Amino acid sequence: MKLSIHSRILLSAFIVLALFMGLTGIILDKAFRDNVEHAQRENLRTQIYALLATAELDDAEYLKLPEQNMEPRLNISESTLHARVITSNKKIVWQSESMLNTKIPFPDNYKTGEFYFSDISNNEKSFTSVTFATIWLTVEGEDTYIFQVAENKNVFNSQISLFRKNLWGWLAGVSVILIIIQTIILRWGLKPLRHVAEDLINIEQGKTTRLSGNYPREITPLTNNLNQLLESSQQQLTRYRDALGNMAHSLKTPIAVLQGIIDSISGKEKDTACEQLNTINNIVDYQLNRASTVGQTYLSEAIKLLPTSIKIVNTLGKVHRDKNIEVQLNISEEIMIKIEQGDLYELLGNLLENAFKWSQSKISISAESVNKQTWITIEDDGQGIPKEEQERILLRGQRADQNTPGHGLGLAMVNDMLLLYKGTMEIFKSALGGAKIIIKL
Amino acid sequence: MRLLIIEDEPNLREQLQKYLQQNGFAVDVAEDGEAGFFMGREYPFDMAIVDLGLPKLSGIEIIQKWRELEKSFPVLILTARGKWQDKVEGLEAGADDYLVKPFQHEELLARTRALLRRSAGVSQPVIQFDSISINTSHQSVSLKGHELVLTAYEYKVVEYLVMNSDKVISKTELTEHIYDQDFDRDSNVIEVFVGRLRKKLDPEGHLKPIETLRGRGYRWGLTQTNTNENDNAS
Repeated sequence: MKLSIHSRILLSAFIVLALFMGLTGIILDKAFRDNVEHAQRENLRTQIYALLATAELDDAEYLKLPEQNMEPRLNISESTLHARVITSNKKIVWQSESMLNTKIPFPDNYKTGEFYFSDISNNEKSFTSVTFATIWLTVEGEDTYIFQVAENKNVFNSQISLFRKNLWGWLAGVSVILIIIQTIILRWGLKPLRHVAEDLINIEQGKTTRLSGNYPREITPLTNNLNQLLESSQQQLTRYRDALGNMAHSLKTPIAVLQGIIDSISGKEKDTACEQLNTINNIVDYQLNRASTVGQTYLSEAIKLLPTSIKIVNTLGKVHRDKNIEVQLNISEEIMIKIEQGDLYELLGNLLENAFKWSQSKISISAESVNKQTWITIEDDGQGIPKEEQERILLRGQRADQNTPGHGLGLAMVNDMLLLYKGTMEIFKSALGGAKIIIKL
Repeated sequence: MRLLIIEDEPNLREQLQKYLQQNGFAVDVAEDGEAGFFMGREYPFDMAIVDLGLPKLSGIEIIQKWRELEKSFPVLILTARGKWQDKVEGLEAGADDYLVKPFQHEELLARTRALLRRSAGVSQPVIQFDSISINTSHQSVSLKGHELVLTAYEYKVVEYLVMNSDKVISKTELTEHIYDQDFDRDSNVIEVFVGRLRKKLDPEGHLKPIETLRGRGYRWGLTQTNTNENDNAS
């Protein structure tokens, strides 16, 4: 099954949102990381300047730094900030308290007058370090001193991970809110289309005959055209049936006149004429019935089975009043059948006329819904239908007008009509004694 | 029994009129819906045969209007299309039976007689009154098993009295029901028919099948004695 429009839009919105949020997260993460790194380096540079500011030559022309530094973190042994000053031949001139317990593998690379930053690590910890070499002028000439500061990377890493945690948390939260908003907007935006679909289902179930409701202007042309199509097909059907009715009237009345003339004559010719007229009449009946059967159509309405059944039973009950037939009608009010109303009249009319014609005193009509089909069962206590006649009736494609009258024509017409609805007819022997006909539609 | 046929096709109309007249009915005809409705409203018919597809006023509308006016005579509809929706609508409108064109005249006659019997509350074609037996299918009357020789009008009088055995029938009513509209009527003839019938039906003078109620009319004086429920003619 293809994805619904709703799912398609939601899925694509979800993918776009995930990509957007992912990229945003990565860019922000990188920017923050660069920023923090830059800040850390600036901080280290500032530490170098501070050390330079406090350094001075003593009387012996040796560089000296105060025991207690301005930066308190350098004065604590378990600190994360470390600093030292060495000579060009790696002799330690000064080192901070925090250097005493920590061995830091400061890089050997330096270029005088330039800050050299690098990431270093001992076996336990990682550090960001800066090395700055400067030349100190003395009376005897010049000495090179190397200032080195290192900061534990844990500080930097914890800042980054805290930021990341916040960043992705917020991004996920915003994504969820956006998806919820998107879903609500989609549902609202697609509501008119859902309404059209509901209306179409209602039409199919026979609850309404047209698309109702106030649709937005984008789909009004569609719904208006659908309504016009529904109306025009109904009108066309009515016109077509009226035309067939008129044709039936103009054909059948002359046949009736001929029948009258034949009735008034006698002799051998009467039988031949009767037979021929009967054939003409059967052909007209069969072809008109075939032409007026609507058959299965798209968007056809489902109709209730019970009201039409009651009408036909009442009609036939009135006609066969003298037979005092007991009719058991077991059809639930809810049973719907997808058939055109006129076709249902013909279907039930032909079946029940046979039942009333052959029944002695009892007829049973029942219906049930089985696997999206409606099964209609009609039984009588008449003489039943002989096997050969059953076969002839059920032989599809055989023209019903070639059937002999009796059970034949009416049931064969029903069978023919069912062909157009992809339905079936089965004939059995009823427990009541007569015929049992099951229609599956 | 007086019938009304409403049929717009002239050949069929004439055929049916002639055929039913030959079979002992007084028959009036109308060629369109309006004329037919008017006749059914104004004249005392025992039954009407109405085509559904009529000009000016449809068969169904005619029946509906008659029933609204409480005209209760039975109606047989003729339909060319034979569509079930038409049949159902016709019978819901108040018709009692239908025939699909073309039909055999014998079929029409049998249905007509069955409807007339049914409206008179008689279910079988042979009605027995003591030693008098009336066969409505054959239109014959027997006394002690011997068929009587009756004229068509004598039979019509007997049949009408029997079919309305619970009522007092005036001479005018009898005249209206045994003659059609075009007939030159003379109600004195009824007295002659009744006199002749009494002699034929009750030669010994002790059955008294036709009672005279002075100043009011006649009444069938016998009670039906057979109760056979089978109706082979319908």
